[in-house]
Amino acid sequence: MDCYTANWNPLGDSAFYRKYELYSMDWDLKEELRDCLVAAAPYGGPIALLRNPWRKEKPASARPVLEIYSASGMPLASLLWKSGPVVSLGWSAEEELLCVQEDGVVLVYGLHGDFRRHFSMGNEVLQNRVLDARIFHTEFGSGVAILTGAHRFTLSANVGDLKLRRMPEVPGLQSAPSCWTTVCQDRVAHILLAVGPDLYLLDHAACSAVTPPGLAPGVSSFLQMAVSFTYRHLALFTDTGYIWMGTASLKEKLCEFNCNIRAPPKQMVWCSRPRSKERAVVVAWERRLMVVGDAPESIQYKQLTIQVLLDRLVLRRLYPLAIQICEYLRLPEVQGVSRILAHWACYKVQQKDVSDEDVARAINQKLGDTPGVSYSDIAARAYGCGRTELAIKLLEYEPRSGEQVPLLLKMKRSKLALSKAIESGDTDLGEQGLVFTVLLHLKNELNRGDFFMTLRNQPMALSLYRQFCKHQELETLKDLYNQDDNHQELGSFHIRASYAAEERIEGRVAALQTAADAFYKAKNEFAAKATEDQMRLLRLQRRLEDELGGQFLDLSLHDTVTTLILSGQNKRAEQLARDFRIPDKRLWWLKLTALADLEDWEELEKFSKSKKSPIGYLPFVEICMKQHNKYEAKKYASRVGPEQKVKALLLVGDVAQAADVAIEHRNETEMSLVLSHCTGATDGATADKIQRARAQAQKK
Amino acid sequence: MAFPHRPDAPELPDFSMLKRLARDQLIYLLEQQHEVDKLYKVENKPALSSSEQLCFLVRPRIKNMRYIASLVNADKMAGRTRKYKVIFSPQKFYACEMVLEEEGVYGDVSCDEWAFSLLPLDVDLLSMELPEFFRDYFLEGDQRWINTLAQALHLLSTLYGPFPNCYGIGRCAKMSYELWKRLEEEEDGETKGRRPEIGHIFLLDRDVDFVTALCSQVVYEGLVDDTFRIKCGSVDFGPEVTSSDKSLKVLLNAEDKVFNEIRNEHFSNVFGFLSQKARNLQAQYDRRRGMDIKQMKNFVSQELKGLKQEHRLLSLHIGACESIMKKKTKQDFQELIKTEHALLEGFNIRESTSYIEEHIDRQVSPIESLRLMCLLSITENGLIPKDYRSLKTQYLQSYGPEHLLTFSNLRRAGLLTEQAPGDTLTAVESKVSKLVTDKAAGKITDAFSSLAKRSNFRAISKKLNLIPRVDGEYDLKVPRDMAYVFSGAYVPLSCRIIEQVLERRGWQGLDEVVRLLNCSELAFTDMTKDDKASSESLRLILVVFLGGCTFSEISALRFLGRGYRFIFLTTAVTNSARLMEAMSEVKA
Repeated sequence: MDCYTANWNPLGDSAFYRKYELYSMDWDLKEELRDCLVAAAPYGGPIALLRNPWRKEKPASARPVLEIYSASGMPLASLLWKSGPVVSLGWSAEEELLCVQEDGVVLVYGLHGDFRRHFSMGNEVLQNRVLDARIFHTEFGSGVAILTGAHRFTLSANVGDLKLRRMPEVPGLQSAPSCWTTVCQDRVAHILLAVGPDLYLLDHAACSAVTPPGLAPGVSSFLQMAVSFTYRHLALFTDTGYIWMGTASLKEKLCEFNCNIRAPPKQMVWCSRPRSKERAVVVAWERRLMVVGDAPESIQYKQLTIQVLLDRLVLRRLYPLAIQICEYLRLPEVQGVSRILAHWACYKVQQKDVSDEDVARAINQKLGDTPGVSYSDIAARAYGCGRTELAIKLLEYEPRSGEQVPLLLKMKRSKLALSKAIESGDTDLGEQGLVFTVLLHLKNELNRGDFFMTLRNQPMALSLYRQFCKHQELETLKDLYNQDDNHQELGSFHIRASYAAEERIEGRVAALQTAADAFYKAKNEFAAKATEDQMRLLRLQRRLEDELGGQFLDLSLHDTVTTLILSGQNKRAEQLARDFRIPDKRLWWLKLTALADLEDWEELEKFSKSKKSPIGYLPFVEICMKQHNKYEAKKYASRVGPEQKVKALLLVGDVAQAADVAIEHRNETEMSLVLSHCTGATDGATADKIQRARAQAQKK
Repeated sequence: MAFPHRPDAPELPDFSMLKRLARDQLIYLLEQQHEVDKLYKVENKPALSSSEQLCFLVRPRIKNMRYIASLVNADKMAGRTRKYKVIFSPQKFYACEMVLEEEGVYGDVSCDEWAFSLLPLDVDLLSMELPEFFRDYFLEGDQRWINTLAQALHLLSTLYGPFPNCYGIGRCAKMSYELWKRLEEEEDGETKGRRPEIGHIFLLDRDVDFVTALCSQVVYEGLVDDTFRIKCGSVDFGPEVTSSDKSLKVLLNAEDKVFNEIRNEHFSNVFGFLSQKARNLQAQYDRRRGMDIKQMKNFVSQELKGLKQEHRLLSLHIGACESIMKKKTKQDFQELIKTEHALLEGFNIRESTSYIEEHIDRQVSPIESLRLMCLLSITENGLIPKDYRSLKTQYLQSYGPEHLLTFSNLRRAGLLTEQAPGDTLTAVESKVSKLVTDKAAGKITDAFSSLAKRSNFRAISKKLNLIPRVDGEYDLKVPRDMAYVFSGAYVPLSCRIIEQVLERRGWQGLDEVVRLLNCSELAFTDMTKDDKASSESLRLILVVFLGGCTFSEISALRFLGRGYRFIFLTTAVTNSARLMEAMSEVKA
């Protein structure tokens, strides 16, 4: 049985290691790896190689080639590098290759060498050039850290949501640090750098000197440093050939080792298998590899989730395999098969040699109406590849018409977009914003006439737009009504303008005239006449203000007459009433109230006798009592007609006489009304009288 | 005297959940996400705060946008830079963003949304507090709020389980319902498998029944609303009520034990009840006499506080009653009610018309005059042309010419119309209904069809028996039907419809009524067989009023009970004055 342990070699006292070949690389390299920039993606992802001609003193004449291989060396892509000098390569967590150029521009490529996008690390980087760069991973995504020629650091913690952060200056830093790395603490990216015997930690606010606990003395320079993948651990290699291993927080030392090699190592990395308690650092020199390990400690790797695994298969275009895995794992369609089919479709639209019809049909056949598939996303991809017609065909398959709109707008099919937006509004009225967006697009795209014509055919959009104009674009609203020959609304519009927009009396009258004309056109004679009356009234009020002073403008007709009476202008009041044909009843109420307010009892009496009151005399009684003038009230109570006599007598407090009248009328309701007014002893006799009359009435 | 619920009446669902939800969301939103540390009321005046960031929590109204824009621009003029955030609740409208853009501040402001729309005002009442809904939808034809409605219904079904039985009537009800169902489909699984807590939901458009909302209210809660205006579940009682020199803000809900007993009562019973209550209270105080020390200690520690609280509430409501009586039991009010009843019953139309004319001539109140005109119009299928002209002329003379626009609004909403000669109307109607079959055309004719719509109130009233036959006096102390909320003269149409549909488990046999309501295509039922629904939940009914409901309607349905229990969701609590104000044009 000893053959099992035959290839294990002792490491230190208690640990063993073995060496064996997992697989051999399939690649056929044309370049020496040492001449290349190399980047391997985490979790067994792809490897990118770029021959680095810029490193040599003399740039090579030929353009370098960027090659991408799978982890086992299968070629995935190969392309000629046509952009500027590259300083550093790295893979993002989404398996996108980030190529950092000397000028601070970062170019992003897909797994298959397809160019995705680019971004810049800012002006400061552009001016001072990139000296060194690192791509690093955090829980938020992948970041880029740059060391510029001015020995300043700039970083972005997540290239997916680019926010550049320029780190503070390191005091007294004259040359590049001997080594540096990014570390992540408390979800924030920092930079740890070594300058001579000192270590500094840079965060976005400050630069602070740090000291690793238990560091052996005599260090005059740090040659290499490495943080573990999870940012928990840090290893430092010094010019004394000493290795310090501890936590990245620099709070704890795990172990130290003196290897007695003073040459700077080419590379130093943390390594260990998932769930292993053995932590180890591998240090590499030109011809030597050393594994330094210790520190039993529980550590757990975040494993690849099934979603990430599927993503990776999709990225490698292994669609059938991904679907089989989904089916095997019984993943819900939305997370599983649909998603993969959608990815497949997005790939499919890029096949330029297949006709639009065929692509659209093929996609629809495979996808059908699988839940969770967005045809508009696929169409957007097709449009992105310059296939507008294909995009429109694909959009037809999109069941939610609202989803079709943004892309249609992008493709400048605004009218189609409007009908789709409204169609979606038919069932999904929450999409008003969508209709609105399209409207504004249209408004900018079309001339006014065409725009209005389009609106006319879309009543729902029209009503929405009108609403908006009412608040924000009054002139447009007017044009809209004009366009529609909507004279009624046009009239209302000018009426509103006559008291909201216009200040001068001439302007107001003019607005009213326009309104009246519109009302005539709308065959609304009533409104037209009322508007003309208002014009007359306005002019008259103006004249009254000029002649009498005081405030008349904007009073109603009723209040205008009242004001005249209150200021003793009875003649003018009468004239106005005649001119505007104020009905008699109204005039009587009006005068009655005004004269009582003035407490002009004499005038009131004269007025009451001017002719027979069209409103009777009870109101006179009421108003006098309201002014607490019982004496005057009684005068009128006697003139109140028989029907309201009881009420009038009760109002002036003459219960006894009220009872007599009620009894005389033989009116049961009146009698109970009087009874309800009989209070206490004073009215005792009256109450008895009514009761007797009632009894008598019943006998009969 | 709160209605004794039958012993088997179901428990109300727990609305406090919504309160907690809103509170937690708000705290998270303001403190965590927007780092707000001081709150001010948005008023149309300069911001006092010297803070580096201003955060506005507002309704999506154009007016608010103008205010924010003016603040930002004022800061700019003063050379001051700070951050501005606008949180729209319940949702953002594009028109608002457009205003910010046109005012040149869009770039300075960041926008966010808070989808809060259900405010529990009481144990059985949720309000969306969207008074603008009524005008926006029923006058302007603005459908933007429908999304908010559907979202609110969706939230309710995620919290209280699916609704096995759904009924509705009205265009808005139908659209909201359909959008809501689509939301549920899109997020399926969330409510599936949940046990329904509320067995029925009933959606009703305000324009199905304008009449009820236009009547003067005479149950206590409605009367308090008409007199003092209840705002968001609380009322400001002025010095005339508090009998001190201060106004007092009082919460009116089931927790106020005194109020809870009188809220649904006809006003004529309230005063008697309160004075009886006062006597009982006095008796309880009086027990103190003759107590020994130990009893007294008990009394003070256990009963006194409760008694004092009750005392306080009692004197407030007595004060409110006195104040109402001063205003309302005047002869004027009785005549007003008499006229309303005559209009509802359809007799003495000439007399009522003269009453309204006198009301206008005397400038009693612009809103009241308008309300009576509308009530006359709806109950009579429009005013006869002569009255239509003369009442409007009188109204313009009394209250100002700008009301020409008010009349145009009322006509569009179908609240105040002119009787068209019979045959013309039918011609228009048939033309419209032909067009309506075409879906797109339906939208064009929307505004137009409301003009041609007849209210048919008289015929509906006959069909549904809304005017109870009464032999002798209607005993308001012991109500026998929902008519008690209008002194026994009229059963609220909205409530009667709900009662009938529940009784029939749908619209069967109500075809004629639905046709008369102009809702032939707009009445719907949707029942799902759900074995999981408990018999208790099947006796709970959520009534959703789109465009507002009145306290009288709430009282009527609370009374209806019959082993059922009603809970309410409304876009806002409304009354006749609020409806009229929403339609009125006033000079800015």
